[in-house]
Amino acid sequence: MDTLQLETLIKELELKTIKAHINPHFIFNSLNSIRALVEENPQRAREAVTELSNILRSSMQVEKAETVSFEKELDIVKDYLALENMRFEDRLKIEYDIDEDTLDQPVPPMMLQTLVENAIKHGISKQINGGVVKIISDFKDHYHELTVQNTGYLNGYSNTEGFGLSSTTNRLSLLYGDKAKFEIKQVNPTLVEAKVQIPVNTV
Amino acid sequence: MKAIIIDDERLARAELKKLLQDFPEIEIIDEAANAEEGITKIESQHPDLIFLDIQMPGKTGFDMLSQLERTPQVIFTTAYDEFALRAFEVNALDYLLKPVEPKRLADAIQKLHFAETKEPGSETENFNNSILTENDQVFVKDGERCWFVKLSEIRLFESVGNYAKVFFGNNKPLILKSLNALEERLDEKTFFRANRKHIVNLRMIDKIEPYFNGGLLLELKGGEKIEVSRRQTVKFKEMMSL
Repeated sequence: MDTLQLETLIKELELKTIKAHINPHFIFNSLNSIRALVEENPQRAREAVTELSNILRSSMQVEKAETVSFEKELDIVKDYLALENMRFEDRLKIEYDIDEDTLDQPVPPMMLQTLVENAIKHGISKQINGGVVKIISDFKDHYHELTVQNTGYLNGYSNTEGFGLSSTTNRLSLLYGDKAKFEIKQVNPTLVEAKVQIPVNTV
Repeated sequence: MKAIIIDDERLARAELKKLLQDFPEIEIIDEAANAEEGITKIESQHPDLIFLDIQMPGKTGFDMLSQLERTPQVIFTTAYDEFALRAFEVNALDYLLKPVEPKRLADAIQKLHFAETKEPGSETENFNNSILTENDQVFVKDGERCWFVKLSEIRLFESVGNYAKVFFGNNKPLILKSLNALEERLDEKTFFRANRKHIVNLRMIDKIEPYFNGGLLLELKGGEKIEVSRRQTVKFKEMMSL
């Protein structure tokens, strides 16, 4: 293959992966909600535009095989959750249990966001009364552990199915070989848990 | 035209209500946040039209429609749903993408059939007995295909176990209703129980011939040949006053 063909192929793949990380349903629903808020609550509408813009920007940076600080990733997740709160209102409750010392750990961008998005898509949005999502970050042995719990059921999708989740597995093995772990399971009849373990960066 | 908006997102309902202010011929009489609420409100308030979001928690919009006895006119809404969009295209159903463009909303509303004017007396009659008439439509889904079928287009119902095969046009999909259940809801002036397995639309009869044992053989517009049992033949003749 000559250089031109190779370049074109690379650009196509980049675009495909960017598209794959942007969830159109979420984007259009958010835009619709923002439009509704423009008159009802203009201040909130302005904030929401910024939140959406941050998420889009972050989605475009995903495939650069770089990592971001967990603090930065958490900011994006909070923006994402602020937008989902516009949709779900009091059907979505969020809890955080974050060990401060994990904030400067490097993590793959949009990884936590993908887990949270799945928790909402498969858990919260399927329940008529919504539910709770809990985000936990702490150190366990030599790992930085990121856990997302949601009320709901793991029916239909097992361990790593669904594009978002299989991409999680792929990204982890690309970055950490077999040193990182990812698992998702039903921990009790009404609670699903997704857990990522990343080897600690002791710099 | 009376309408109900069904969408689990409050802001989405608010946004659609705001757009509909430009269409005074459409009156929003209620809202629902999920399929169950939708079914209750549709069955108690009999809207002419519903705006229905496809992706809702619990039951989907399609499931809800299959459960209704008679379906009002429907305009579907979705932010983005590949599968739903394909179903809409394949079945020529009317849908709007969110955020809704006012022009597209106007086009969809143009296409609606504005109801046969109801005389003041007949309205209560219609609501009190829930007999389905020829102008009512039902939602029928069979695999990937789905239809809104006017009862007047249905030639024949054939019992298949707990299901009924619905004959209209070139189609014969199954619905989860027993013939007895159907018989209770159908107007007996139009739909006749020919035998244990068949209900026939009297207006779709092409030929009537005498048959064994004092029965009749009906040939329908689609070519189907249906026997009328002897007992039902007596009723048939009475009805037709032959």
